[in-house]
Amino acid sequence: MILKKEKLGSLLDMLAGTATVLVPTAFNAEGGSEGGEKATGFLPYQAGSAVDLGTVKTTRSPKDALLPQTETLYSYEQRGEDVTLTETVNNTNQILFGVRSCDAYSIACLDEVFLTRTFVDTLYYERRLGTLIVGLGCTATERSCFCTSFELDPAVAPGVDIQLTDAGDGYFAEALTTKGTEALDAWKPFLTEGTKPTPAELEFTFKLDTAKLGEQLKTMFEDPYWQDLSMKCLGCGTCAFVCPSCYCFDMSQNNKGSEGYRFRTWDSCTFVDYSMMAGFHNPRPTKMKRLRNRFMHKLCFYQERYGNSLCCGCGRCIELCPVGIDISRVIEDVERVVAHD
Amino acid sequence: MIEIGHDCTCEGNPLVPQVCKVIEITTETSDVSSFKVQTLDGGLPFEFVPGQLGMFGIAPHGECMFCVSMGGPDWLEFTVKRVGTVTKRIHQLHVGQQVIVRGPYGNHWPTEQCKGRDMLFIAGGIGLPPVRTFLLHCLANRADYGRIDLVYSASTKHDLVFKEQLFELWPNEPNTHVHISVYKDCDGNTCTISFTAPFLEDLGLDVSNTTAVLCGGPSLYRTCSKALANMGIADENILTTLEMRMKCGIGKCGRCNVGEKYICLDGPVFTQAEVNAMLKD
Amino acid sequence: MSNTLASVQETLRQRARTLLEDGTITYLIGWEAGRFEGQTTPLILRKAADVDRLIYNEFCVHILAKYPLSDKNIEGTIGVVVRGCDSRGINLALKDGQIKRDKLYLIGIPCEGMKDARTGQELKKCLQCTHRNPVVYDELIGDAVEDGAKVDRFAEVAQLESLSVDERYDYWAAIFSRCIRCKACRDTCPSCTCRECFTDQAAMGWQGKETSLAENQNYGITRMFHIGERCIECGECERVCPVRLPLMQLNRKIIKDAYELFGEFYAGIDDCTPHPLDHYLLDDVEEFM
Repeated sequence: MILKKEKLGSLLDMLAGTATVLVPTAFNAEGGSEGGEKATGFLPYQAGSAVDLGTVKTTRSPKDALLPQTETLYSYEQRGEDVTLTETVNNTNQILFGVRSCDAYSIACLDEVFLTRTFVDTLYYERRLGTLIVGLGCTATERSCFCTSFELDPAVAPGVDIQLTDAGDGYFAEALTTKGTEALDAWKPFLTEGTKPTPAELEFTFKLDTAKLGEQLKTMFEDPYWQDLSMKCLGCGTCAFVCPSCYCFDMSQNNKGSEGYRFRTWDSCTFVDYSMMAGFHNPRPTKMKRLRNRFMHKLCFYQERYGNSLCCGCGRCIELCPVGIDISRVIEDVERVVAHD
Repeated sequence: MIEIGHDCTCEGNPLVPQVCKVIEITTETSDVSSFKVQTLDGGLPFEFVPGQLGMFGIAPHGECMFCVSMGGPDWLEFTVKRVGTVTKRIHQLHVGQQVIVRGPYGNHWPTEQCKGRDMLFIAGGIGLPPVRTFLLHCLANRADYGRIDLVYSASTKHDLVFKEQLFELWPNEPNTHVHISVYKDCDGNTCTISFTAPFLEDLGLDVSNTTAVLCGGPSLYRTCSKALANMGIADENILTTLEMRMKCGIGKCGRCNVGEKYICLDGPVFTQAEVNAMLKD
Repeated sequence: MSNTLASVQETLRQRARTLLEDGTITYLIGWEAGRFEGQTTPLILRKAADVDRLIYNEFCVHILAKYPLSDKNIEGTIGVVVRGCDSRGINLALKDGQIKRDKLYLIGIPCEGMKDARTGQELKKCLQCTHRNPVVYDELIGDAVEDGAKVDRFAEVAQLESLSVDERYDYWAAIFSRCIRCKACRDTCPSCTCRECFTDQAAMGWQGKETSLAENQNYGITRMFHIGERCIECGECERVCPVRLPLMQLNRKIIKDAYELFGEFYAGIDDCTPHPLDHYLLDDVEEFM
C-alpha cells in the first residue's frame, strides 16, 4: 500500500489524535547560529509542524523517546523518621515516525541492554511496549554515513513495526510485526494500492572492514595510540549524547523540603566524574583511559557481551565532535596499529 | 522487540528500593560504623549469599553499593566507612530512622567449591566486612573447611574493625588463627607493626591446600597478590572482590565495567586468574 | 609577500620539521586533514617524518590554546600554532599562571578568517574577530593582516537589549530548553581552566544533573558569569555546540557591559594587564553600593 506524500500531513494529524507522534522536525526553524545550520530531532507532531523526513540523520537521535535524558525513577516524602516512596507510572503511548536503519539498530541494542541479562529495566520496558516504530528506508546518504560497515541495510530498518520505502510521490508502507499490522489497519483511509518499489542504490563515501575489530582492539589496549588520540579529546559528552546507542546513565536526586525524587540522566564515559568514587578515587583518572574505554565499549566490550557492535555507523559523533575525533578513522587506525605491532 | 527472556527477574522496578529501618548501630572505629537494617514489618530486607552486594542509602541523599557485611534471620548489616557525601549522611543516622535498601546484586563467594580446603582470609582496613560473610559462613559450617587463617591489617590499632570478634571470638574458634598487623604505632598497640604483604609472607603458612580470599585497597591488593604468588598459591585459588563506582547495580548504567565484565553483575567476586585476563584500566 | 595559505602551510611544515629535528620542541600542536573535504582536526605532531600530515588552510576552525594546559609539567617544550584567538588564549593561561612561557614555542600565523567547510562561508566567530594577528609568538609566518571585526560584534546584543524582559526570558528559555549539557562549551573554552568545575559538583548541590530548563539555565548563566570579561571572544563555545545555541551572545553581553562600565578591554592581548574584574580602583563605578 502506498501513502501519497500529500496525505502524510493528514495521516500524522490522525495519528496525533491517538498517540504522541514523534517525527523528525527542526528545533530551530529560524536556522542555527553558525552558517544557518539547523538542528533536528524527533519532536512531538502538532498540526502545522515543519516535518522533515528528508534529513538523513537528525541531530538528536530518537533515543530520548525510550531513554529520556532525564527520567524520574520514583519520588519520596520524608515525614519525621518515616519515608514513603511512590513509583513513577509510565503510560507511554507513542509513535516514532521515520526511524532510519541506524537508529532502529541502536534501539535493538538498547533492548538488549535494558531487557536482557538478569534484570529488566521496568521503565524502559514500559516505554518500549508503548512505542510503535515506523521505519523509513534511506534514499540518500550523508558523507559520514557508514552503516553498511556494520552490515546494516539502509533500506530496511531492523526490528521496526512498519517500514516505509520511498516511492517517488509516496511511501510504500508494509507491516513487519503483528503490532505493525494492527496499526497499519488504521492507516487504510490514507493509503492507495501500489507495489513496493526497488530500494534506491545508495552510494557511501566509505565502507570499513569491521569483522575482526573486537579481537584487534583487545591486542592494542596498551598501545600509545590512545594517548595521542585522547590528547585532542575535550572530555565533553557530545559523542555520547548524540549517539543513538550510548545508554550509560547516572542516578541522583532532587529535594524540595521534605519531598524529592530520584531520577536518572544520560551520562558520558568521557566525563571526569563518570567513574569517580567516594573519596575522589578514580579508576579511570586520565582522559586517555576514559576515551579508550569509550571506544573499547563501543567496538569490543559490548560485542563480547551482546554479540554485536554498539556502533551503528550513523556518523553523528563524526559530524558533531568539536575536535573532529572520528570513530571511522579510529576503526581504520586499529587495522594500521595492529599491523605495525 | 525482544521477548522478555527466562533469564530475567521481572518483579517490580529493580531500581526502586524498599523502605527499611535502622535497628542497631555499632561504632567500629572513628569513621566506620555498622548499621543493622530490617523491613518495616520486622523482616529480612532480602535473602543474600555471602559476598553479594546491596544498595543502602537515605532517600533524600542517595544510595551507595556495599557488600553485605553480615546477615541475621530478620536483618542485614552494612558496614560503612565515612568517605563521601552519602556515607557522611549515613553516619548521621540513628536507630529507628527509615532508610532505603535494594538488592541482592552480583555473584558471591564460592562457598561450595571451597569445601575441604584451608581458608586464608586477607583484608586491609575496610576490606574486612566483605570477607567477613565468608569467614562467618566457614565458622558456622566449621566441619566443611580446614584450617582458617585471617590476616588483617589497618593503619593503627584504632582503625581495626570488628575488634570484639577479632580479639575475643574468632581466636577461640577451633583451628582458627587471627594474625593482625598495623602500619603505625599508637598508644596501647599490641599488634605487629608491618605492612600486610611482608607480614603475610613471614607467617610461613602451609598453603598446599589453601584458598586465599583477598580484599583491600589498590596497594594492598597489588602487594598481597604478589605475596600470595610468592607463597605458591595458584591464581585460580586466590579470590578477590573488586570495587568500581556503581549506580544501578543491575548491569545497565555502564560505569562499573572492567573490560567487558560488569562488577555489579558478573562480580564482585573474581579469581586472580580472571582478574589477570581482564583489560584493566 | 602575500600570505597565500599554501605558502604558509609549506613554511609551517618546514619550520615544524626543523624544530622537531633540532629538539626545540617535543611535539607540535597544529591541524591535520579529516576524512572529508574541508574537515580538519587538531594534530599532535611528534615526528619530523610525519610533517606532511600538518596542514594549514581556511578550514582550521579549532582553537589550540587549551591543549598545552593538559601537559603543563612536560620536560620539554610544546610547539603550538597560534593565530590571534589562539594567542589570546595562551596569554590568558600565562597570566593565570596555568603554564610557563618557557614550556611553549609559539609559531604565529596572521589569520584572515576561517570558513565553515559545509557552507563555504566565513565563520561568524571569525567575522567578529578583533585580533587577527597573533599577540604573542616566537616566530611569525607570513605578513601581518589588518585587525578589526568585519561586522558589528555587538549587533546581536543590542538587538536583544531592545527586547522587553519577558521577551528576553522567552528567547533564552527556548534556547536553553535545547541544551543537552554535553559541556563541550566549557571544555573547549580557553578561559575555563578550573581543576574542579562547578558543573561536576552534583554531590555538593552546585549543579544538578537533571536536564531541565532550570538546571540548563543555571549551567548557562553560571558559566557566563564565571568567564565574565575573561572571554577572549574566540567563539568556540558557539561553534562546538552540537545543538547550535548562540552562546556568544551571553558572553558579548558581559563584555559590552564591561566596556560601558570600565572602558574598552580585550582579554588576553597581553599576559599582564589586569582584567576589569580581577582588581579594583578607587574611582570604579559602584552603582550597586
